[in-house]
Amino acid sequence: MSVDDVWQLRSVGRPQRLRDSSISSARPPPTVNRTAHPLSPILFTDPPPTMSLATYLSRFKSVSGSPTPSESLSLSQLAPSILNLTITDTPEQWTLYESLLLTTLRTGDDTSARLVLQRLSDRFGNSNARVMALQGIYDEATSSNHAQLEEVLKNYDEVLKEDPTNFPITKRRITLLHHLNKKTEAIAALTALLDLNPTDGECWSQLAQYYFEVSMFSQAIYCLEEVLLILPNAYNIHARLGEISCIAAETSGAGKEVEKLEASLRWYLRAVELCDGYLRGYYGVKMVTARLLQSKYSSATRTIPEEKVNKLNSVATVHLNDIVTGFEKNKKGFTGYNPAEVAAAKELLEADSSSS
Amino acid sequence: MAQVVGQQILRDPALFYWILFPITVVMILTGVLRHYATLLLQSAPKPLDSKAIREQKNYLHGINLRTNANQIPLSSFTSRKNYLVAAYGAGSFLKDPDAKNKAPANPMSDPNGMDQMMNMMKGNMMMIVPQTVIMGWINAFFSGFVIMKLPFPLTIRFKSMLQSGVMTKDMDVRWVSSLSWYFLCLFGLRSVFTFILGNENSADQTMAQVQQMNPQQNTQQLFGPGQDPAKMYSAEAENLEVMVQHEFVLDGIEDRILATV
Repeated sequence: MSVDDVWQLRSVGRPQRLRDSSISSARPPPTVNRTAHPLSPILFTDPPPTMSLATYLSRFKSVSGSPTPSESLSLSQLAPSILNLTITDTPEQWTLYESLLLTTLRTGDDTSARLVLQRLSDRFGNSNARVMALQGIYDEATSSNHAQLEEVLKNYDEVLKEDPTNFPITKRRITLLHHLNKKTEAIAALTALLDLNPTDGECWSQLAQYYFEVSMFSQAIYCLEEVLLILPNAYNIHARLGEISCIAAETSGAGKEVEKLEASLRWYLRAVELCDGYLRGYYGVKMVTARLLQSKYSSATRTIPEEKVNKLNSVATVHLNDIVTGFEKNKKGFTGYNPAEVAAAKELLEADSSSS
Repeated sequence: MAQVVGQQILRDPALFYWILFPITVVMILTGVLRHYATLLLQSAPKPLDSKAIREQKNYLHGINLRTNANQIPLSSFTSRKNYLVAAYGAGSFLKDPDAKNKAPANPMSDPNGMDQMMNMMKGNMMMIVPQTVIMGWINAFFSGFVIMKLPFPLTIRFKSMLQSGVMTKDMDVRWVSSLSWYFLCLFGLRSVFTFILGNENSADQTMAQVQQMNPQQNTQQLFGPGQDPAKMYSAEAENLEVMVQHEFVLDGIEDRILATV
């Protein structure tokens, strides 16, 4: 689980991560995840009482950016044993503490969260920007009504008045604004932040998400391109670009559709090129090619000839088939996929085979 | 000069306990002490204000655009390029746009630069003071002692290195004087310090020298004192402007994918 971004928590109720707004690291990591199979009965396996710091850390790392409730719960249950470890004051320890704070907040274990936060602020001081943001996350997650959230927001404003360069708090404030349904304000604040620091990929990807939510697709695409300038190998951003251009193609006027669909197809292909075995990428390739092969586009001018589109479609089908069967049989190299995504791929394949 | 084979000097074994050993221990202890003293004296780098951050990050933005231009479509690249070139040329990201045409400020009067220099001086003092004291101590108490014999022969060239402070012409190079032992310790204890204090210690002076050579590497400052951001911006604008070649990575991707199957 990445703890680097302050975005990942929503404010009220239990925080969760916005879908696919994270950025993968520059190197395409393997999609294979051998440590935590999503379907394994993680809930019933008691952790051995004496695990080392590194073991705990690897357990946290094995969980994806958007953990399922059961994964969160199993991690959150580690809280007492982690808190009982002696404090070694190593970077790993504090990373673990941060992840633990987020997990305990997700599952509603506020007492543990309080304790973790206390230890973090004891070590780094209350005025540390990061600790302040974590404190903010705690306040947001534990507030039960709208008025309390407004209070937290006011707090953020005060902090920022004193120190406008406190980036973690700025990000928290933007997320909170967005959550309180002040979307235009959130977008304005985020653009202001990006004017200050245009080399933060996380901000750009979040802005893309906000623009996407209000259906401003070309702006969203611009923002994602900006992310690519910072992280040229982020394959999930490529796939996201494909998704957004595909959706934008639907709403664009006649004549432009094929052009946009082809752009979308190319983004998806690039995602697949950067990371083979990327399910979202192949799903997109299959979906877009199927759409391009529809009879209403047969007369349109296209830059990718129809036979190639056909071939690409079958390539995607083969790969998706591999992934789905591999995942179902729990074959080595095919674990770690999101079960929901695999199910969607299966549905797509079945719909395809029944129609043809 | 003919070397006397098996030259024998009778040494008092107490030389080992009272000179060789103390010098080594003192050198190690000063190193450790210096490490902690440097840590104490180091002032945290001042956080930059928002204008300075804006100035630096927007400069990096241009560099990012230039290096990864091929990742985005040509039209996107051109619009960004035009925007950035215009903004860089107009100096709209500068900390103080009025200073654009002025001569660069004297680095000595720049408060940020002063800070940096103060830090450097502190570091230097941490090196110079203990070294002077210890060398004085060794010269006063142990000068002229021959304290050990190396177990292997050496060429005559090493004489000045191993026998400083002993003016005997005919002595075998294998004999080491106390002052030389001090120098050997001074330069050779690096791995010992790494063992005791970890990798990024400030006990070893070679490390400090490396840091002095490129002081910008460890600080947040992208523009060092004396550098004119306005000039760097216009240079970057020029770099962007002359970029004519643009090969979008997505061109022909369908053939690449089909070729791999």
